[in-house]
Amino acid sequence: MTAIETRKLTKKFGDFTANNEIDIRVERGEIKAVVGENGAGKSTLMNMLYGLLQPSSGEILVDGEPVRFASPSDAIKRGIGMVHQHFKLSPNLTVFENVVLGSEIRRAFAPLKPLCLLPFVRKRPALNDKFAARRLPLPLIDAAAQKAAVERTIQKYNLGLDAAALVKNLSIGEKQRVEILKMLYRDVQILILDEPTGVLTPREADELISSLKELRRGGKTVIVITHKLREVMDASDSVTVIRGGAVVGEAKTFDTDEKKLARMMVGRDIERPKTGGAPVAGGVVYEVKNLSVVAPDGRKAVDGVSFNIRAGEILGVAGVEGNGQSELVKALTGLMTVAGGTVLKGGADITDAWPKAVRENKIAVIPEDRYGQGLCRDMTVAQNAIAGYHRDRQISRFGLLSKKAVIRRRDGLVKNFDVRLCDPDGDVSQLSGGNAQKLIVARELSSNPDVLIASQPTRGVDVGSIEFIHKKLLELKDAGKAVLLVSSELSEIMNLSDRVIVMYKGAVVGEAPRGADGETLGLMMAGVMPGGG
Amino acid sequence: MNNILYNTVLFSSPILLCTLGGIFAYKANVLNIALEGMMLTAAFVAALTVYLTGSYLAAVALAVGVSLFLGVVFSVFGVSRKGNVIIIGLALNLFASGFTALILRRMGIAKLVAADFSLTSVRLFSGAASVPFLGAFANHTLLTYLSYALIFAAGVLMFKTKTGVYIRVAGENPEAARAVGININRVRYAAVLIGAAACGLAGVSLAVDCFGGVYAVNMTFGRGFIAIAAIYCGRGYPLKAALYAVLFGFSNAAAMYLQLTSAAAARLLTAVPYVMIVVLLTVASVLKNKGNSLRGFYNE
Repeated sequence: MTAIETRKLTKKFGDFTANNEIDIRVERGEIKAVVGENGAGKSTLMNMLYGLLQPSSGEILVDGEPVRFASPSDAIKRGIGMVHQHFKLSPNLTVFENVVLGSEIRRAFAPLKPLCLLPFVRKRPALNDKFAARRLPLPLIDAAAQKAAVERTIQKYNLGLDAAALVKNLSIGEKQRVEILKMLYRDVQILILDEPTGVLTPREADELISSLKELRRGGKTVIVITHKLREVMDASDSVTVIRGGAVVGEAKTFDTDEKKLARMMVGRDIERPKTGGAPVAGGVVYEVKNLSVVAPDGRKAVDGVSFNIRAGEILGVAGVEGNGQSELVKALTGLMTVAGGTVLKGGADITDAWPKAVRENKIAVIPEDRYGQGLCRDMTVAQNAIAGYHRDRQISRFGLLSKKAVIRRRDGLVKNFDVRLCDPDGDVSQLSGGNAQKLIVARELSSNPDVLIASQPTRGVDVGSIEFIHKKLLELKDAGKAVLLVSSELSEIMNLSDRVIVMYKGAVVGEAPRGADGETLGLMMAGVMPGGG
Repeated sequence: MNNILYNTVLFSSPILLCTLGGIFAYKANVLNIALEGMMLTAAFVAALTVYLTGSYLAAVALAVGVSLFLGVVFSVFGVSRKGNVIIIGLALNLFASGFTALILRRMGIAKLVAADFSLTSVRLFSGAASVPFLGAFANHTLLTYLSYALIFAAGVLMFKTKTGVYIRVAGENPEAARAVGININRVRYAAVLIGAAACGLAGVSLAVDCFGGVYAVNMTFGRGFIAIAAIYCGRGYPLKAALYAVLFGFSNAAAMYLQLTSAAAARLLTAVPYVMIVVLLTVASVLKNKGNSLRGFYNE
């Protein structure tokens, strides 16, 4: 039985065809993976299924019937729900308020109920019920009823959430479960998840996969958009591969493997990054001693962290997100003030240096939030290509930028780092995630740094770009530079790092040499010390 | 002293109304700086109505109506057409000030005074006016009492109704609202119009309740902006914002009292409430940023 099917579904944005005659079939009760690189058109396809976009041509069939969705609420009515990559939750509302949003339960009052106390009414059950049932909805929300209803759904699907908690206090994994809950509460039969594991820790990702399998057992149909092939193999029943807006392959999951899928996705073979390169021989370039950072909410986010990095070494910082890595990087790059401890670069004290001074000390930064700190979306590629390096003598004279030199810089970066642009003079907002990230990497690595601080350098980036960025990091290492690699992607840390430190609750809880197994690191990330500590 | 207290209760009322209405647009993340212009226009319409008809109720109805009209204009350009809300708000403020001044000039007067109009008939609890201390809370109009009751009503509307929830979601994460099929623009219209209606009442309160049916050019004297300051200091929470509004009403009343006693510095003393709000804003912002280790702009 087919749950959802598209026929020659096409979406055009102006001259650009995002989806070209896509035919896809999802069987009821299966987990379908839709894979493809960033910009391949997966999200466009799903947004059409969910009513956020309207197809240019072609049709969508749900349970064999053609449908037209003008908005997501139409899709929800037909039993299709979607969990977006960026959560659509309101942080200052409680879990249950977010879940019932748009279908609030209102208080009602029964004006005729007092009549039921009259003896002659009480004797006539029909009349009694009629009076009790005549209810006038009030404009007030019935918070208790909402909370109870949401709690019932939480229990039914075993989601382990506190309905009364404020969303802003939840972990990322919990927020995602709220999104799923939101859809289940609306009784959807088909659940679409867009890059659901992109923001999750490995453990949360595993939990998500088992939740999805649970839903499948309950008869729901699940569509997962992803570019993580391991998860495709773990979770799905069938796979559809999309490249350049068209379906390039379909398979039952047991019939295929990661390598075949990767080849279909990218159109060529993918090389796994080789661990290491030459062993480390250089002296200490960058050193952090007993660093502490206090977050704005008064919490000690980084607590006495010490480490050093030698020339030609990549030091990986592993940890479940939210254990102080963000604050560590912010303090090291001048975005947060340090509460205690010292930072040394080449022996010089650069504790609490402002971002300008950080760069003057030949420290390059790949920030974790690509559009928050890495790029300015509404400025041109050229302007972004020099951001932070605009005082460079080659492009600026007496405080004036040379347009020619800036353009030359941009063209150089774009060419050497294979940044794919539609319009070279356009804004950064035109770039796909992978290309935007490559632009940052290009800018930072071209400054010829001694030290690179890279935070989540491949988050939300397609396979091809990940491969490229990893290659560049290893080149930097081979050139004798020091690299601090902070990532919640354990495989990335394990493949690239010479040494790994693990952060838990703001402190470094362990260090492992190159080649440590994932299980040990995973346990340390969860706060469990090796040897039962 | 009783006089200062009475005037505090009275002069807080227009600011309070404006503040309590304005918190909705604030929470919906639409910065409505046209509160000032709406209040000014409403004050003019209210004064003109009592001047011509002597009817308090007609003044309320017309002032609220005109203010709502300005709210619709603001929303059409700022919400539907997605214009810059600051520029639209500024335009409405300048228009309000210029248009009302123009009409006064065509009428050939510098100041509109409804000399025949008396508030005595619409004041409540007048008998208690001479009671020490408590007397300051008596002999006010229903609208003045209503403005304080609105602190509670605004709280209920903001936190206990669908409209309030939608307004807060529209401000915090419009995508969350859109994803479940809530029409954001409609919510924003509602937020702006709630503020406009309240500004209409604020205009009546100012021109009729506070000054007894008088309109003078630009008589709001930045009270709309003071209300915005109160909204920001109170971060959109009705009770907190109301406290700031009353604090300003108090300094307004105190300044009036001081002006009576020291004629020489009278002009300067009108600045007291404004100085106070600057101080308050600074303190509020310092407190908010205390312990913030995130760096802002470069300031070596």
